[in-house]
Formats: sequence, structure tokens, C-alpha cells
Amino acid sequence: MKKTDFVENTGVEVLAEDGCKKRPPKDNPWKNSRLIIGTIILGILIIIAFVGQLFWDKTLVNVGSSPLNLPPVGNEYRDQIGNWAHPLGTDNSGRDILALVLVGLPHSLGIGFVSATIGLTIGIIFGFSAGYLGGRVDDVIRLLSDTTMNIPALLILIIIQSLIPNAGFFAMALLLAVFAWQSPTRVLRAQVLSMKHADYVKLAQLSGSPDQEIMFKEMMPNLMPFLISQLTAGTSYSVLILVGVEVLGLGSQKIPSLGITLNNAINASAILRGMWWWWGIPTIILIVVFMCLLLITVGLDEVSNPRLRDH
Amino acid sequence: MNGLTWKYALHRIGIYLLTILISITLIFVISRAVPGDPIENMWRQLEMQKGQIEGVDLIIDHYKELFGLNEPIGIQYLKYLWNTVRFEFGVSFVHYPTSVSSMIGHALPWTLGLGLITTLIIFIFGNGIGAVFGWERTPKFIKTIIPSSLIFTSIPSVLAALFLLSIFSKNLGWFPLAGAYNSNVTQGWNWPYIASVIKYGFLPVLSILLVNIGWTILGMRAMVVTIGGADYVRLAQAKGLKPFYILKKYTVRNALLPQLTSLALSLGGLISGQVLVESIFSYPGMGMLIFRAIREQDFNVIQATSYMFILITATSVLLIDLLYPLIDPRITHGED
Amino acid sequence: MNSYVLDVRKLKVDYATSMKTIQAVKGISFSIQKGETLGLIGESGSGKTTTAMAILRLLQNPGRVVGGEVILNSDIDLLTLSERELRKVRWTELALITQGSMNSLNPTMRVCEQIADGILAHKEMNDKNELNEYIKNLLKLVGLPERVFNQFPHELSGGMKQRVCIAMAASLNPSLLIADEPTSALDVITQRIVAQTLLDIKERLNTSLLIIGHDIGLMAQMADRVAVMIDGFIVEVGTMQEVLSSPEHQYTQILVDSMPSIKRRKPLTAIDERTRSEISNKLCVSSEMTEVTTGHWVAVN
Repeated sequence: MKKTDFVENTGVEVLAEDGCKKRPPKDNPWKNSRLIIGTIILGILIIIAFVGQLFWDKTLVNVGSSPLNLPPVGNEYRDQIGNWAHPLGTDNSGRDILALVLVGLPHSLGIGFVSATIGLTIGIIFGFSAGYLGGRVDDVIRLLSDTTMNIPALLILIIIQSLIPNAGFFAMALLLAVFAWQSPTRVLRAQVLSMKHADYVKLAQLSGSPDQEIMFKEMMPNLMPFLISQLTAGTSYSVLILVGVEVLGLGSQKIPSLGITLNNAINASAILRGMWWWWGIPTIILIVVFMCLLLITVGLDEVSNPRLRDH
Repeated sequence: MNGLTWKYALHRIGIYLLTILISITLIFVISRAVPGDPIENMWRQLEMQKGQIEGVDLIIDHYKELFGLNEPIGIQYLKYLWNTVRFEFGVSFVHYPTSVSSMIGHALPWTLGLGLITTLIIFIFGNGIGAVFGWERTPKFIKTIIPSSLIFTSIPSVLAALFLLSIFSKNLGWFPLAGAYNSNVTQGWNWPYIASVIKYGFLPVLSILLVNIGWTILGMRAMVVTIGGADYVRLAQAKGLKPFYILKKYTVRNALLPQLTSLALSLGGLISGQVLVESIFSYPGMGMLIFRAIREQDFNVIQATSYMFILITATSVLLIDLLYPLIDPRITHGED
Repeated sequence: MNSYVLDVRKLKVDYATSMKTIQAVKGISFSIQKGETLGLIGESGSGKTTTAMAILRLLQNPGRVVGGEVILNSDIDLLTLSERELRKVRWTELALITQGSMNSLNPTMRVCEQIADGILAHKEMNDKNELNEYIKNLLKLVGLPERVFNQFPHELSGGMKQRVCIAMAASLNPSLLIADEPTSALDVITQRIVAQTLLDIKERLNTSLLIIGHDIGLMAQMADRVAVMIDGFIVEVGTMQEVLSSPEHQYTQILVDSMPSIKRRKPLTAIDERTRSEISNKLCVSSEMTEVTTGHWVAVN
């Protein structure tokens, strides 16, 4: 239902007007508990990873650099007792799990972030053009996104990666970006279409500002939290695909990552052998990362859309 | 008047065919963009690993013949296109001379079954629970569960699968560790076999379900809350209709279309998740086929199975698109 | 006293949020006799729709009736009914025609189903043919062609939809019809057709009608008596004739003055914010009313 309908039917406009006037200044939309919690936990994880890399020996990610099948501190596995030399244990070919996590996490997040940024940039350009210019441009962009958005990215990447096994950081990010622009394009187009008819944009048009200026000066600030939420959602999406490809055994084997660690664990039947730390620690870290990204996304959505609050 | 109009149906089918064409072209371009001849490379590599293989040159020749690899690139493309649309994918490199289509044929029913059941459960139960959460008459204490469904939505199904497998199969031993049915039972329409299929499929379904049902629940809840304030719902109340009848015929009925749209949008993710979950549970579907083919570097199988997954996704989306007008009479001339 | 179909006494409605409570209806009283049409007039935000919703007990959160009585047919207080009792009264005694016909029909149900479910909720009707005939007859009564029976709302024009709503409201012969701005979303020609249909139906069923609106011109042609609302108060009640010819309250005078006339062109006067709050503040002190002539009541302040 449109807001105006609601207002006319219930007479709540009295309430809305008054409510706005009386809103205390401390009611800052950016003080969103989900957004804050998500950002803090994710921030801590990233800081730990970067600081950890300074203090922890990164060469421990190499095969044979540590004893095999060592459990985390305080655990015992097949006559081996975990020790502080390898606090999170090791895998069956002597890789230190802590080192894998410290190196792998920023790497996966980084690829996801870069690809989401590229995807969002394309999305902004396409979405704005489609929504604002309309006509032919809109038709072409919509056809392009409609036809490609139903192709599961994971499967195309499987084909690509099986042929080009050792794609580097940026190649990987670019590949993921190919599937990261459709969603922002769609959403931005819709946003621009609804804003196009907003009074303040019309006013700017009447006063003679050129189109591009209106697009960026007037619309951008209003879209800011919305764009950031698209960015975190995109990052989450790209990391998800990346992990998926790696779990299947693809992705560059040169750079250690959480997904590849999981693939190794699955191939070595780590679950059946009871080596829970091998698959469990990367899994938990990934789950926390995904949760944080979701909390940030949801929080930002609430910041940009007041009607989502208090539900 | 209402229902499917030709314009709408043709538009949707056009998008569908274009999606398939783009996918096939993409796969073709990718495989040709790699330096050297991928098929020959693959065989030589296999030869190096496994020693001399009988009649390699013959196989390669047969292959080049089938896909016209000695002809100009345009002809190659057309032949490739023609072969793909008739599901002619050649033979497996590793399991020579098994044809790829027969491998897919064995795996396809499992994948379709698993996917269909999961999707149905997600749609029916997700929307049912979502409607209850959004309904104004639902007691407050039930609604307090809502935030927890948000937490589940962020866990990728592959990670959920690892946990479920470890806890319920490995540690508790309630469910089998791998496979799709008990191989000691005769296959067919008998209860022990069906029961074993359900038991083996339970955890894979649950892994995909746990994660994706959350989105459906939250989406439906939001829709029910919004529609609950609509004029026609209020008029229905004024008519003295029973609250549950209003929920069913007025609120949920109108919320289903947007929910169907979001289901169509999430299918790609659902299917990607299934590929991974099948791999974790060694479920004999096409996801497992891909997983194994990647390990064995059986490129032909990887390519064909991925294509099949893309085809399934696009077809399901098309089917949902064609379903819209049956659920909502308004979608007859609309583009969006 | 006469037997009233509806008697509203000191009705009070609040919208309460955690930050502030807004009094939308501040203790108003009025009554409707059998067969009578009462117009409730006021600008948007004056609380007239809230009043209607309170009578029907359809207020949405955070709206709440905080005082008063709404007596139906001189014996039932609607505000004290249990949910089950309320459901029985709705549609059989009390029917609603909503504002903005665009949104008041369920887009995914055929017209016939939407009329039928209201009937079936209150009446045993096992013979499907009989029910269908009854509904077709209702549609004919409001001047709709038979094909409408099987159509969906999006296939109808705004005026047709509103007539479907009227047919629906009339389906159980209620003692009171409440029409909340029944013509506001329509063009002028359609407005007249819909208004006429509404009056015809009302005459034929011999029911009472509470009509809510802001268009005093249209109201003048439809209502027998009128009640004028501002800011949650009723400032004047009387026959249409009397109120139009000799408006007593300052606000009514402004309102009547705003009526267009062909005979002489008037300057477009509008009530300014200061006058409005002055009136409102005075009413807050006392909203007591006196009878100037028989049946013509005016707020003292």
C-alpha cells in the first residue's frame, strides 16, 4: 500500500507530522544496533588477521611446515596433544590452521570486496542510465541483466576455473564481478525511477540543472547508505561463490584460503576422522563473517529506509 | 482477458532462449579462449599421469570430428550449439567410453528430486511460517523467535551441511554418511526403499532448507504486515469474515506473487547450494558428478553438467514466470 | 425520543505512540434516525474517518477508543461487544463503503466471490444458483452489466469498482451504511453517478446512511442532516437546509462560504492556520453545544 493511502485512511498524518516535530535529536538513524554489532565484529576479525600476520609465521601455511594431524591446544587426537606452537592445530599434510586462517581470511574477503566494488560501479552506471535515460538504453540494459541474472555464477566459474586453474587475486575478482552487477543494477534502476518523480529532483530540473548534475548531486547523498548496503551484500555474495568454487576443489592452489582448506578437509575425510578443527574452524569463521555482512546490510537498509525500523 | 497472454508468454520465453544461448556461447568462448586445444591437452595430461592409454589418437580424432575442431571457428560454434541443444556432450575422458549424457541421465533424477522437494518445502513452509509471524493475531511470544531466523539466513548451505554431517551422521549416527539410498534394499516402489531414500535425503534437504527458508519467512512476514493494512483487508474485516479466512484469501493470496518472484530470483543460489551440498553428502546427483569430475579433471563432464544446471535454473525460472498469471490475475500485460 | 439507528455519545479516540498521544476524536456525540442520511463533514485530519473507523471498530494501531458509547438500534453498545458478537453485527447491521475504491477490492478475487463471502459469512445459502442469482440481481441494482460478475477488480473502472462496493455493502440489507468519502477518488461525472446509485440503494433498502466527506457541495445534495467537524470536535449539527442557510459557528460559516456559486464569483478564501488554532483552542476549553433552533446545535465557543 502506498503511504499516502495509509495516511488518508487512518488520519495518522496528524501523528506523523507531530511525531516528526517532536522527534528527539538523539534519534540518529546511523545508531543502528545491527549495523554497529556487525561492523565491530567484522572489524575485529580483520584487525586480528592483519595484526596476526605480523606476529605469526606465514610460512606455516606450506605443506610439511608443521607436524601432521595436531589438534588445537588442550585437545588430544591419536596420542598427540595440542600445544601453543600450533594453537589451532594442523592438517594432515602439516599446514598450520592458524596461519591458514590469518592469511586466508583477508584474501577471501579482499577478493569479495574488490569484485563487489567493481560490480557496484557497473551497477551504478547501468542502473542510473537505465532509470534516468529510459527508452532504448533501459531496454538494452534490462535485457542484458534479465538474461544473465538467471545464470548461476558458481557454474560458469566452475567451467572457467577448471580451464584456468591459477587465476590471481584480481583475475578472480574480475571473474566474480561479471556476476555481481545485475542485482545492484536492478535495485538502483528501481530506486532512480522512484526518485525521478520525487519533488526535489523535479525542482532541480525546473531550475535548469543539467541531467548529470541532478543525478549525482541530488540523488547520490540520499542513496548513500543504500549503496553501502549493496556493497556489503555484494561482498557477501562474491565471497559465497568464491568459497563454493574453492570447496569444490578449484581456485588458485598457490594462495591458501579458507575454501581450499575446506576442500582439503573434505577430500581427506576430516569429518569421519574426527579432525573437527580442520573443517570446523574455517567454517565457524566463515559463518561469523557472513553473519556480520548480513547484519551490516540489514542495518544499512534500515538506515536508508526508515519504514523498516521498529518492526 | 486474464490468465496468460501471448505477449507476456512470448516475452518470457524469448528471455529464456536468450539466457540459454548466452550460456552456451559463454561456455564455448571460455573453452576456446584457453591456449592450445583443451581436449588434446587434457588427454596428454591424463596420459602423463596414467601412462599409455590405448587408442588415444583415435579418441581425439573422433572428438575433433564430432565437434568439428578442424573446421573454422564459426562452423565449430554452430556444431557446438547443435550438439548442446540435443544433449550430445561426447564421452567422458576418464570413464571412457561412457557418454556424458548417460552419466548425467543417471544423476539427473536425484538432483531434480532433491531440488524439487527442497524448493517445495521452502516455499510452502517458509510462507506458512512467515504468514504466522506477520499475522497480527499471532501471540507475541511466538513472534519473539523472528530474529533467530535472520541468523540462519546468513550461513551458506555448504557450511550448514558440514555441521549437520558431523553432528548427526558422524557423532550421533542417526543418519547415513553418504549416498542416496540403502544399497541393500531392492530399488523400486517398495516402502523400505522409499524410507531409505527419505532417510538418506533428509540431511541434504535440511542443509539447503535451514538457510534458505529464513529469507522466505522474513519476506512473507513483511508482505503480510504490509498487506494487513490494505483497504481491502479492512473491508474484509468490516464484512465480518473470520480472521483466518481473511488471512488465507485476502492477505496471503496477495502476498504470494511477490514471494514467487523472490523464489525465482533465489533459484540460482539454491541450485548452487545444492551442487555443494551434494558434494558434501556424496549424494549421487549432478553436483556430486561435478565434484568428482573436477577432482578427475574430466573437463567434458564439468562443462556438460554445469550447462545442465544452468538449463535447469533457467527452465525453473521460466516455469515460475508462466505461473504468475494463474496466481495473480493482474499480471497480464505488465512488464515488471 | 425517536428510535435511533445509531447513537454516538462522547466518543473519544487517541492515537498513542511511545513518544506522544494524539487525540484524534475529542468526545463527539451525534445520532442517526431510521432512514436518515447524515453527512459528517470536515477537512482531512479533522477526525471524520477516524470516527467512522471507531464506530466500525476497525481502528488500526496505534488508534484506540478511550471513551464513549456507540449504540446501535437503541440496544447494543458496539464498543462492548466481544469479537464473535461483533462479527455477527458487521455487514448484517453495519456495512462500510470505503474511501478510494481503487484499493478496497481484493485484486486476486473475482467480484462474485468477494460479494459471496460476505453473504456466506452470515447466511446459510446452500443453493449455489440461488446465491449467484442474488448477486447478479445486486449488480443489476447498482446498474452494472452482468459480465462484471465474473471479472477481476483490475478489469473495472473506478466508478464500476465503487458501485461493486455499494452492491457489496447492500448485500445483507444492513440498517446502517457508512460511506467514507465514497466519491473522492472519482471524476466529477462518475461522482454523480456513484452518488446517485448510493442514494437509490439507500431509498430502496430503506436504510440509514452516514456519509463522510469534505465536499460540501456534493454533501448538500445527498444528506438530510449535517455534522461539521474540526480538529476532533463537532461544532455544528442541524438539517442541511438550516446549516447552509444560517450557519452559526465561525468555522461553518467559512466552510459554507467556500461553496462555489455561479451567481457571484467569490474570492478564494481559505482558512488560515491562526484562525484554525484559535477555534481549536477555544473548543478545548469547552465543547459544549446549545440548541439555537429545534435540532440545530452549535458549539458555544
